[in-house]
Amino acid sequence: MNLDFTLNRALDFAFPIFLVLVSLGFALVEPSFLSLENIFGMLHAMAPIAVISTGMALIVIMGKLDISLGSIALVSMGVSATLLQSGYGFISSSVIALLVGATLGAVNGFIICILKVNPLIATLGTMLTFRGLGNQITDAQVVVLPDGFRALGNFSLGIIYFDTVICLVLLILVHALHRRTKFGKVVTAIGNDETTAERVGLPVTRTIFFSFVIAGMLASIGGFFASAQVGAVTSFLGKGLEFTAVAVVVVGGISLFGGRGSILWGVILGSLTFEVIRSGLNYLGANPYFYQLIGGVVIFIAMYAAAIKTGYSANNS
Amino acid sequence: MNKNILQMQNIKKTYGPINALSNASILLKKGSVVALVGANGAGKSTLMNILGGITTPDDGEVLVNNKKVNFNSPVDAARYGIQFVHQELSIFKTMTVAENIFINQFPTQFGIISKQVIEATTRQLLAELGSNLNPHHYVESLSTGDCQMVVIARAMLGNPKILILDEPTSSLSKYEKEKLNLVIGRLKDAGVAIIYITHFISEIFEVCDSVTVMRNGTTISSQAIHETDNSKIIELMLGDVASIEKKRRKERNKNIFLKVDKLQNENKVKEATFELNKGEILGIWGLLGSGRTELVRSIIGLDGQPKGTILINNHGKLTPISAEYLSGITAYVSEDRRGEGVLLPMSVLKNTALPNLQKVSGNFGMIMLNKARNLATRVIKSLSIKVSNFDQKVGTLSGGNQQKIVFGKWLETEPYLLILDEPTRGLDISAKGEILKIATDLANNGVSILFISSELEELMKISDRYLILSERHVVAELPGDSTQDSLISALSKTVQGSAA
Repeated sequence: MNLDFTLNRALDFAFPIFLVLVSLGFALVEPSFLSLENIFGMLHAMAPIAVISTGMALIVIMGKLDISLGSIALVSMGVSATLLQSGYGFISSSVIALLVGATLGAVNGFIICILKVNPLIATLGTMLTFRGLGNQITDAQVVVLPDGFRALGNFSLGIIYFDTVICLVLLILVHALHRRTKFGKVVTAIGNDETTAERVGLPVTRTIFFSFVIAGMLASIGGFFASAQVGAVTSFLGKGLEFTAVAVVVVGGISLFGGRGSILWGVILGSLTFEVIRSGLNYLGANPYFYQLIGGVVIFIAMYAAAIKTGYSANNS
Repeated sequence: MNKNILQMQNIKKTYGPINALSNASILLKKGSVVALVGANGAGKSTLMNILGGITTPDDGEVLVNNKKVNFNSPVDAARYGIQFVHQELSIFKTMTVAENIFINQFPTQFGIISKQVIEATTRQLLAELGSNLNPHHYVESLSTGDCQMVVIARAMLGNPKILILDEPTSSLSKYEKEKLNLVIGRLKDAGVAIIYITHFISEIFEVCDSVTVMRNGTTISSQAIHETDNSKIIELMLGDVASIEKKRRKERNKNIFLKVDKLQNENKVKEATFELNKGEILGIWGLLGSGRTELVRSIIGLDGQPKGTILINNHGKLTPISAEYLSGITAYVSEDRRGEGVLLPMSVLKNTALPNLQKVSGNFGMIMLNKARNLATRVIKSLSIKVSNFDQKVGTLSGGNQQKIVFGKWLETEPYLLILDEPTRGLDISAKGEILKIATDLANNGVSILFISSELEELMKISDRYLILSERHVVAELPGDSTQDSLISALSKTVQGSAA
């Protein structure tokens, strides 16, 4: 038991150590990699995926998955961009984008809670449907956003970017929601065992529903950041992001089996790991496909580490 | 101290054709502990589910503090101060002790839970129970006994007047049991009345003030603890078996089929030695928790690798074999019919084909549908199972017919050893009779049978010989013509022995 415990702790630290070593490795080849400018640049670049992963983390702690988040990002930004073009203001179109995210999250929640469809299957369906809907709205064309947008997306005070700060605030809020509220405790309880949670009389259905709504809203904010950074909404917005988000969450030590993990540290660790690899390989001028390969290997290692960990805890029980 | 806090009077409840409760009454005084005992299917759970608000009675009255009440949900019951600690503990492993205790009633300030507040309250609550568990330890690192403490503490948070403990000691160590007894003592002193359900008769003398015995859905006796003893309780539980007509009378010559020598399996089975003859029905007799199921499962290697020797008659010579080998020639009718016996959502055809895949396969291992159909038809016919066709889902069949499917699919494997673990549980009388008939027919055809039953009557009807089990030991062996008294006293002797 003690040995298992040590191993578990070691696995908890495996990715932070990995992250530090990889960063140092890149810095050895290219010392400016660890310059403050580049570090904050990475924190800026990872803001969209970090926000989407925050919602994913909440769902995963519940022992479920939502792979429609990237498509939700596309639909809400598609709607928002179209509204902007037809003369709506910045505020109103952004609020509507957020509402679209909430609504699509509610659609997921409805399919999962009321129609009782397995979350993976349900969101696989909505991933395809929502993407179709998003492309319908934008005609699969690139919609260029007003100049102010791009300025906001890359606005910084000194070296600290605006979206990094908002991302951190959202992370802390969702983390507190998970750790410090009744809602969050029910989320963890569902991740432990949904049947037991129901037997104890917890509001299981309501909690699952609203978790998907929250994840949908965070997906639309992530979409906002992503399109603001480039100043346009393209039909590729959010494509594959949901899977990156799952990987981020797993690398961050949040168990796919539910009930375990810290949203704040998990999402920061996970997003940073992938961003460091991407940015570092970029620095070295590596082929972009090589990044996909390395990313895949990292995901595999994270899954394997998680499997070892849960294997041990299952034996302990 | 003498105030009546709960009266349940003449409670009746039926599930379909089965009478779960025909006339049950129980009386509980403030600050007292009542043991509720009875064999499997006696109706203890149904009665307690009614008290806990999980089901509603068809007839009868429940009075709390001498006022008639009707519960429609566990929340209703909790409002009257009734808390139910189920045998299966409702805990969340990745959460802390404090979180588990407060799970359905977190105190918040502006929506925020204060860790300090819940941990302080938890510490106080646990101290009242005499436990020094750390409130911020994760529950997954606790022992079963401590987990139980957590669940009891959660129940205490609801300020219970009546606490139902269902089989609280079934997975506790000796030390943990003593700790639980201390907790029960403290709760009593605080004026909480407790209903203590258990299969371990010796325990009730340690903590209970009185004992209510149930049999066949009726509470047949309620006595103060000092007016009764082990053997009286066991006799009441098992009841009088009127006249037993042996299904099989003829003496058979001894022809050993299987010999189990000093079988040991961790703490599940201890040094079991016995022999089984060809075509013999060996009744395994013991109270629940005596290790009956564990014994038969260990023989065929279902619970890890047992120590000891298993020998089989190989052309007149006893040859040692492995548990896996024995498993290959054994049909095991599990006590958990719906969980282990059949696959409820699958058809009769698929259920019967499953243990016989070799038999229904053709070239290249492909399953031949016509062979599977023939097999299913054969099973349905030979056991006269009532189904509309072999594509009917097993879940839609009655319990008796489901059990016949279990028998049928195993018999097609042509087993040498048949293990029947509570094969008639939950069946109506006619189905019970049919199942016993199938078993005796098989024995007459040379199949050796290990038969487990909590019902003395059916065990006596069918057994050629008895093994007496107590506390995971094979303690005695009795001949087939033993009387009811000798069987009961064999059991109560061992129970007393272990209590001393």
